This record gives sequence, structure tokens and C-alpha cells, in this order.
Amino acid sequence: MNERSDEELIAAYHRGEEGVLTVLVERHLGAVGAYCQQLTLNRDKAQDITQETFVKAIRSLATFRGVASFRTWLLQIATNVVRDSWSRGRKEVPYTDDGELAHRGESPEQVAIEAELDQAIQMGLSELPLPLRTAFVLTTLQGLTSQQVADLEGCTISTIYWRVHEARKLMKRRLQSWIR
Amino acid sequence: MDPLKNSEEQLDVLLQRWAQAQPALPREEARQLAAQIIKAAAEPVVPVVPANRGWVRLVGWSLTTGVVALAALMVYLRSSPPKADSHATLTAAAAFPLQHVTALTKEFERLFDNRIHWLADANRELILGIDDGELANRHARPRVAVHVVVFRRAVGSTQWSPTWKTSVVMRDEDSVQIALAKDHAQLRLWAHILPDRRVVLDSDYQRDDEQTSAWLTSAVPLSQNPEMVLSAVDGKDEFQVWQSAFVLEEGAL
Repeated sequence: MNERSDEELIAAYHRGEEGVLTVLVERHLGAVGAYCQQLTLNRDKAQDITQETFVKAIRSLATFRGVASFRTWLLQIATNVVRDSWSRGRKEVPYTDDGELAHRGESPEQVAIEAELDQAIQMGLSELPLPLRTAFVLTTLQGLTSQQVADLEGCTISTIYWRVHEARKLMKRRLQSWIR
Repeated sequence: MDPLKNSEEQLDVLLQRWAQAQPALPREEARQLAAQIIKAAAEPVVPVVPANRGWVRLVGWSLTTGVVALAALMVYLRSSPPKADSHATLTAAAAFPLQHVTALTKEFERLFDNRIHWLADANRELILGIDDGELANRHARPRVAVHVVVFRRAVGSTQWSPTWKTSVVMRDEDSVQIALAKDHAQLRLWAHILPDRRVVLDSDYQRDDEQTSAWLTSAVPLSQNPEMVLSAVDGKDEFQVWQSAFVLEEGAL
């Protein structure tokens, strides 16, 4: 069953086949969770938003038309949930250092450098206004094209070019010690 | 660090390595979470009724609330104070100051030998960006004038007051960063003219003390006619943001 495409699984779900939702959710949970973590920079908040995203997606699965991929559709819902959460009174997503980077048998010095870099990256992302952060994360870390992000955000491709450009400028300033 | 071509690629690699190093949810936890999600999605959606209005029953609520709302509206209309600022009043107060903007641009272009990159009149604080000479191709793009007015009033009040007025002249698709000394703030703007003669404006306003930060994306027609692009309540104050835009023809300068 795991070999079937998202579209095939969704069709099977509409036919009433049991168990396909589990496959779909488990397949995309990691990617959507990572995206929410990259946007919110807060593990608990990211998990809440991930859950809300999938619940909304499942409840509106009948409206999925396959214009974009299922993953892109999920990222769009996640973006809207983050935006709603943001506008419900939290002007800035607080940056919290979870301090749980996966260190793979590195030396103490290397671990310290990685921790410092991790902190700088999280600080840099937390300083980006949400539209810049969303455009930057979607293109650089999620691999979406600027046109896909423009469709997802409902704006022009030029707007996305500019947002990514501005985000890069600010991130490079924050990470200048690590960039030659 | 690998010998990468440029800082953009280095930034991407740093970010991608960082993303890959984030710990993934353990398999068993992921399974549990997936099961929770599917269970939650299957639960019926119950409309939220505020706790302090528990007496409003879902059955027949539309009739009850309809009658109450109509009665309240009638009482309000009979006892309401003099008319609040009308849409027309705010439109007039947010009117595009075409003559002022044209005169300013014309005068500064003369003084700086046509090297004005952008120009801002922010609450009567004049700020200029001067071309460094290497950006002459910028002149190929149309010059957009944008006027932003922020109105504020106390919640419950009927009178709006303009609290912030800014006119910015900039080139299509340029981004400008304006330091507002009086406000102790930074304003970043980017304008893009759409094929349908509307202009998209991304604006990012940040106070230097980092206590205030606001981002707004709007689209208004290039017609000088002001439009309300944001209405918001912040604590005891209500705000409205009005914008208008116009292309400054080179021949008019």
C-alpha cells in the first residue's frame, strides 16, 4: 500500500478504503512537522500547528483537486495555520533554544561551533517578518519554486523574489561570521 | 566550509545542514501522533459558543439572535451620537498630495542632478536616497508615488485622527529602507506595478526598540484614489491604514 502515490491514496480514501489516511499522514508528518518547526522555531507550537494542519487537511480532503501536489497543499494549510496563530495576538513567534541538535559523534569543539551556528540561524529566522520567513523557508528548505510559493501565498512571483532576496540579505548579515 | 562559489550558496548549505540536523520525531511517537490526528479529524465539529453566552442554544439560535440584533440595532440607531467620520471624510483626509509630491520630486531632482533614487516625506521629515551613478538603468522603470495615512481613534470614539502620513517616491521593483529619525523606526518598502495597473506594496515598519513591528502587503490601483488596506484594533485603539498610488510621469517633472 505504501507504494501508491498520494493521489492514488486519496482516491482510495474517497472510495472508503480503510487505513489509507494513516499512510498519508505518516508519509508527510515529518516534512510538515519540520516546516512548522522552521517557521515557529518552537517545538511545542510546531507540534500543535502540525496537528491542526493535518486535521484541517483531512476534513477538507474532498476539496483537494490535485492542482498542486498533496505536500504543497499541506504546506499551504500549515502556512495559513501559522498566520492565523500569529494574528490571534502573537506578534512575534518567540525564539526558544530547544538545544537538541543531532550531533553525530563530533568533538566537543565541533559541537560548540554547531550549537553557536544553530543559535545564530534560529535568531536570524526569528528576526525575519513572517512573509519573508515563509518565502525563504519554502524556497530554500522545502525546495518549492518561486512560482509555487507565489501560488501558495496568492501573490506575484516578483513579490516572492523580493521577499527571498530581502530574507537572504538579513540572514547573511546575521551569519556573516560563517560565510566567507 | 567547502569552497563554494558565493555567499548565497554558502547560506543555502548552512541552512540545509541546519534543517537536516534537527531531530526527527521518533517512529513510535510519529505513529501515535498520526493516530491522534486521525481520531481528532473524525470527531464532529462543534460550533464554539462563548462560555458567558451559554444561554444561546444552538437550536433556533438564528431566530433568537436575529430578533435581539434587530432590537439592539433599532435602539442604537435611535440613540446613536452624531455620525462617525464617513468614508468620504476619510477618503478626503487620505487624499493623494499630487502637487506636493510632484513639486518635491522636481525640486530635488534639480538640486541633485537627476540622481534621486527615492524620496520620502514622512510626517514632514524629508529623507532622500541618492543614486550612486552605477544604477542608471533604474531610470528605465516607472517612478511610483505612494501615499500612506494611518488613522487612529479610541475604541468607541466616532472621530478618526490621522497620526502618520508618509509619501514615498520610488522606482517600480526597487526596495528602499528609510530610517525615520523622529519615529525612531525603520520603514522598508517594495513596490511592484501589476499588469492591471495596480501596485503591490510590501511594507515593513519596525521601531528601533523592537517593541513594534508591522508588516503589510497591499494592492491599490494607480489612480490616486485612496483605499483602506487595513483595519485593526490594538488594545484601546482602533487603526485604519489608507493607501493610494500614482505613476509619476517623467514629463511631469
